[in-house]
Amino acid sequence: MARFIISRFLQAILVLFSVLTITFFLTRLAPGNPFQEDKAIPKHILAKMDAYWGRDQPVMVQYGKQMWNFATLNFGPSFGNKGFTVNEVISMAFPVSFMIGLSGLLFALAIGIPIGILSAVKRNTGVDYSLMSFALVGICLPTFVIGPLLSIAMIKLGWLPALGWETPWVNWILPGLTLGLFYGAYFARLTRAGMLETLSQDYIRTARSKGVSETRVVLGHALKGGLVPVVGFVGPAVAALIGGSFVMESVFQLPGLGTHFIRAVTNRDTPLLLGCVATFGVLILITNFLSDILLAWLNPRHQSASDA
Amino acid sequence: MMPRIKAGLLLVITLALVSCGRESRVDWATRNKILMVGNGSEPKALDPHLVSSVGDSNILRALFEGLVTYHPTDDSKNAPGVAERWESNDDYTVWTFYFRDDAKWSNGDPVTPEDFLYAYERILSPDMASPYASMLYFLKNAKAFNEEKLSDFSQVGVKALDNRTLQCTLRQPTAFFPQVVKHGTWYPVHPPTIEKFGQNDAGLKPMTMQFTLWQRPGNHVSNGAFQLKSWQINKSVVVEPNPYYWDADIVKLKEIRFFPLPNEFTEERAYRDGQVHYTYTMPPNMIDWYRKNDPKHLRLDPYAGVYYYKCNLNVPPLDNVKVRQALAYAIDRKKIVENVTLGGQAPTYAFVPPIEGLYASPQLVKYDPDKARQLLAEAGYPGGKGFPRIDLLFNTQDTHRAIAETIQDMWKKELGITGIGLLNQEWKVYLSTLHDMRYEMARHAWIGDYVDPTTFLDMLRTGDSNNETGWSSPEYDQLLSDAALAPTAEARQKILQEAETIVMTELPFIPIYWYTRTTLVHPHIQNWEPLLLDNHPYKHVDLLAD
Repeated sequence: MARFIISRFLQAILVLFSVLTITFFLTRLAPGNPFQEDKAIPKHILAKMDAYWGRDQPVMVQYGKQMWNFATLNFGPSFGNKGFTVNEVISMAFPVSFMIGLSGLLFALAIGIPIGILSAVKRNTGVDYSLMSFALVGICLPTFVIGPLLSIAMIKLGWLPALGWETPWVNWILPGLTLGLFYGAYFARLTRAGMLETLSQDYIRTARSKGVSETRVVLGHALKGGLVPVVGFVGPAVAALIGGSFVMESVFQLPGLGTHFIRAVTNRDTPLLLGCVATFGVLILITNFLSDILLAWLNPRHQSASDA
Repeated sequence: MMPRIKAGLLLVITLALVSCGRESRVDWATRNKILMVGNGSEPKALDPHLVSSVGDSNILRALFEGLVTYHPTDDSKNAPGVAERWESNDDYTVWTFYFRDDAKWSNGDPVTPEDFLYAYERILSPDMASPYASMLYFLKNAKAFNEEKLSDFSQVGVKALDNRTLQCTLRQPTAFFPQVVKHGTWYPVHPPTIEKFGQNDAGLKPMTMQFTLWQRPGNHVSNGAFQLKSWQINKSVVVEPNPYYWDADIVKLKEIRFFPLPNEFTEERAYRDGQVHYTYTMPPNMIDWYRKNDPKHLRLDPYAGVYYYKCNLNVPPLDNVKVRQALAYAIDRKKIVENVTLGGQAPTYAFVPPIEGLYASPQLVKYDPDKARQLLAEAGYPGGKGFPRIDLLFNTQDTHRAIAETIQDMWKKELGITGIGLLNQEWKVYLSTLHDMRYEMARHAWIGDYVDPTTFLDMLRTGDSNNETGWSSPEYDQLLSDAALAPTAEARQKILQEAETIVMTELPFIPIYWYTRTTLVHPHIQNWEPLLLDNHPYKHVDLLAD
């Protein structure tokens, strides 16, 4: 296990380094100056700005500085949000994205797993077909359709604020639910598939023949194995969920990380973009790592395979 | 099972009760005199010398006050700000501003002419690289100082005569100078604050440090009716009344909250959900709905801005004036504003938007397809034959595309020109293509900085950084210089009309429409009159429930 963890850690460093390098050079290849504006900025002012922010230095020097900043976990000032460092911008936005993502995940699990179990248990019945069609609709409806629909419904019903982050203790519900419906549909189908496979195993038949109650067979014996496909999917899904989503943030007006990601690209705000990429990269690596460990625990065969 | 059902029922009842009794955000805000404003994008900075966008200046207008300030009902008028009165010499080249005794910063310090000198030196310093420093080029030698051709700031035309008097010496006669100093670039900054937070290890001048903590709540010192209370990125900027403001008694609002709502659909939903009193803009396709169903919320006000196509005169056949005229005469602008832009914009047959009582532009660029065809034939392209391919550049946005497609179609139908390509680019790429003049034709827009026709006409002067067409006319430049010396307002108007006639005959810019400000304004908002520049002075604004 220790070898597994160390090798994973070294791989992670290499992946992050490559991703940041590629991102840096891509932003330098992109045309457009971060400081240019609608009303033309005189050339001598643009040159001064480039000098102030170190953009006039050779590209390799800039690259070295950025990498050093990354190594010291200090991304420097943001071009686009003057007066704030990239670290500050990210630390303001990340808790919002984390809360939305986490609530989305909880909604998704709460919706998806029971539906998946029920479908598997009642397989090929009306219940199964209707639940699975519901899940298919959930997968097909993107968040930018569900989100505004829920938001408009709230304007009519007045139960919850339709959007915003002025009252976070209620504002997380709608975006969480939107993400939950979308991911929950996936979870439902994955749970169903996993459960169907497990329920046909010999040890389940043994348990049943011993007279164990059906509820205990399903929840006690089959569920652990049935969740393996879900856990494999949860890893990357969690990163996507808490890494912030530009669409969700735009629909519900949330001050999360996704907006910075997009704005950093359009503003050519290289330090902020690298900060976002690094944050997102670390998130993906951590969640994938955790889901690997969880998989190993759920399914010992998996551990020996990745240990080898 | 029973307790669970009971709990469920209880939850539903509570939710229903909460929702029935829930006062909307704006009702709550009105009761507490908190103005909730949708304000476009997240501000780039809260430093008057680092910003240039409309949204940013909306916030800075609450925080700062210039020598002269905006009038609440008519922005061609001036209201006293830090200066209680001002006067000029006979030829409008030397302006003297007399400060009021009680003008104070939000920390209680008096606002002095020295603070303004400091601010003007800061914005004009080459090292500050201020994006909008050119607004101060009205001052004698300001341009040379900003371009590093002059290093001694004392030679720039501004000085403190004593601790209550500031004198500006201009590069040319400017009768409307008080209009100009209302602009955000002319706001003062608090020198001790800038110096304190500008300290750095690199040995750079604190004055011109761009990245400092002075803009933070708690550090920020301003001299306007409001002071900074909080700033959370992508969430809100909150300002509260400045207790030391000289006119604090008149301020009725207890707070203004500016929300960055860059997506117009989201913003409209926020308005309908009762979360903001005022929107920055609105989706064009919803204007009609509001007109029919909710007209008391909809506001369509004239706005001093013009939408036009720029021609690059270095690219044939656009170097031929007849070609430009043919293209301009073949555009049916009425069709565009009625079917595409939808926001009550005015089709324009001139460049400068009308300024009531001050300037009426000569309406020259009529829709005349016959004349257009004739001109194109005279230019050597009868029926569009042999017309080379040119691309029409615009930044990626639905409305720009729809307008470009409509015009492309009009040129095809009326003139037989088939070689017009549409080229959309992402914003920053579009800007560099435009500003480096690597385009053929490009969409552009201009919003006035002050209420005077020269805020539009000056950009076509030879060598102006916003000209970007390769067009140059010594006669035009001369007329603009003559206009500055005109003895009366009528004489000046006449000369400027002559100048605009040259532009609208030569057509380096092909005008399409004059802007309208399309917004949703909550009926609770009081004293929010239509203003040509849309610069509302917040100190007069009040909130009253119906």
